[in-house]
Amino acid sequence: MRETAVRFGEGGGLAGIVTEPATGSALAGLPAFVFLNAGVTHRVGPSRVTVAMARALAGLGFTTLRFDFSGIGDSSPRTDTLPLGESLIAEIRQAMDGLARSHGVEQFVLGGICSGATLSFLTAREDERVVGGLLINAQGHLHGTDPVLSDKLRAATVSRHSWRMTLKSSFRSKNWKKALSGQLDPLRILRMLFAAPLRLFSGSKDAAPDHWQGDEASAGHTRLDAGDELAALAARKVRLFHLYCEADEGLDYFRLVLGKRLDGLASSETARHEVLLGANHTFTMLWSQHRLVAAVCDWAAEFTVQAAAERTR
Amino acid sequence: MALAVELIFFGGDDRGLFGCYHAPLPPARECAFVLCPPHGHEDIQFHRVLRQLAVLLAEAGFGVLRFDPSGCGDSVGDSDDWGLARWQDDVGSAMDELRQRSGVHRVGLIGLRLGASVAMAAAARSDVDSLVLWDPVISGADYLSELRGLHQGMLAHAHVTPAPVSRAAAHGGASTGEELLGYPMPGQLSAELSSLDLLASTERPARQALLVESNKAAAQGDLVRHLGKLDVAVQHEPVSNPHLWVWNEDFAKVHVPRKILELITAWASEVYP
Repeated sequence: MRETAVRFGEGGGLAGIVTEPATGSALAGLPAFVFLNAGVTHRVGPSRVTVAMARALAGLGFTTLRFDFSGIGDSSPRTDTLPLGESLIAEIRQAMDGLARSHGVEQFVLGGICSGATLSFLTAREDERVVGGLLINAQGHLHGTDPVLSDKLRAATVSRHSWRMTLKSSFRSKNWKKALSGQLDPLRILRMLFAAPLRLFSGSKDAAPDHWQGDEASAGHTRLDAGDELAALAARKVRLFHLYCEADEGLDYFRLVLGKRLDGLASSETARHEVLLGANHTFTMLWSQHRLVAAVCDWAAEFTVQAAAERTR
Repeated sequence: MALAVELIFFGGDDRGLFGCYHAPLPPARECAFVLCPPHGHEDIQFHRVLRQLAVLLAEAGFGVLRFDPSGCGDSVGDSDDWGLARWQDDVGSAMDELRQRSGVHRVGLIGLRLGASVAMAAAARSDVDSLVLWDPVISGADYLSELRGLHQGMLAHAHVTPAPVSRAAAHGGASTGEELLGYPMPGQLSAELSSLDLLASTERPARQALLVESNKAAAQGDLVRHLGKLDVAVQHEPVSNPHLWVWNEDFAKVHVPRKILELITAWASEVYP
């Protein structure tokens, strides 16, 4: 494995590390992985998991780039007035452009945790060079940009998350202990658990989206096009891996938005989803970090198989 | 004038240390600083703080090298490479690199928490002009106790299970040995930490030092007196910020204690006019 520090983007303001297989070049036909920041955590990731993923993938023959968005980690802040949503995707494109120039790579897998996952998905929709999305604890990526719908989904997600954590999760006994010992604000718990259902019961139209179960009956709703988004990427043969930690709210969003269509849309020839029971949003426990790396490598092997098949054609 | 920041790997292929060199804005001063980061979760949470400090110092005319010690951050290696002696060697490599890049012979070390302890030990065996020790780990045994307490608190409150819930989740390698707040604690490092005691040092680490104390609970009066006995001119600055080093599951809640950064920059500017 070999690692090189790189600068790219306008004025060389973006900082990253390229990790390559020991031979110095990736196996022919494999896409390169580009890892995005998890929130404002710099490119090594929480507990250094992005470094671990990059080095494990290099061991499988992949080239990877982990970089910092402008203003994060070692990258310079932007000096223009480009809106954040546009600058982030522009910088991801610059990362792919840079790797294409330096390594001759034409296809990319975008990946990240939390906001890094969401941005990976949004960029995959727009850039045909993207052949895969490693979406770890993604949230808010499947329903478009309608702010009213976003607010409703957010409220419904929080409520659903609270119910699941209290009644069904591996952490339910811990949560009850905390509640009974007064470590949690009981009023806050009640609000989280019952606010959305009470509004629904009272008939408030603002309670939650009428199609929040994401079932067939609501599939035609023009504002909720999660199915269309995923189908469009599947049609392009973009491989998607939704990996969620059990404690992550994104899992509730994912299930809420896709509803009964989840298995059909998120598990197919090009899509996979997995829940890591007992793990939290930032993979604090070492076992969960090891499992994350193993799951990513297992998924990445699909690209190896595909590349080998294409080479023998 | 824009600040120039170079990303580098240094220390040779076997060491492979990653660093960021911040060139000074002119007029450059006659001293440059190596920043020695804290360890583990504190390193992740304080990456931005160290970058901001480097920017302030470079704007004030100091060349600065931030770096990741062996097995940390973007540097080569993993927890098998962790050890206090090795990290002291890394500081020596960083000082060599900084002297070469800045063209300045006089070098100071600025360390946070365990990074401060490593810096002080490294300074005692090198030619270091000044030291900034920000909440140094004075007793390694106390540091381990503190981390273990925080880890137990995390296990009690965070949404994690100590071991995989299902057999499938265990696939990929179960962790062995002690772990603390998202990082392994290898036996070798644990043993070294257990015997770490800055108050037992006998060599003068530097001509002058600034001690920044953010938590009265970890008061540094004993270290101030000890450094005084070693003929170090010490300035002790309590700046209350008692929750600075508490583990936080949400890394988005980055706290940059600007007052401390400005204090360090002002002290350095006064010492090296």
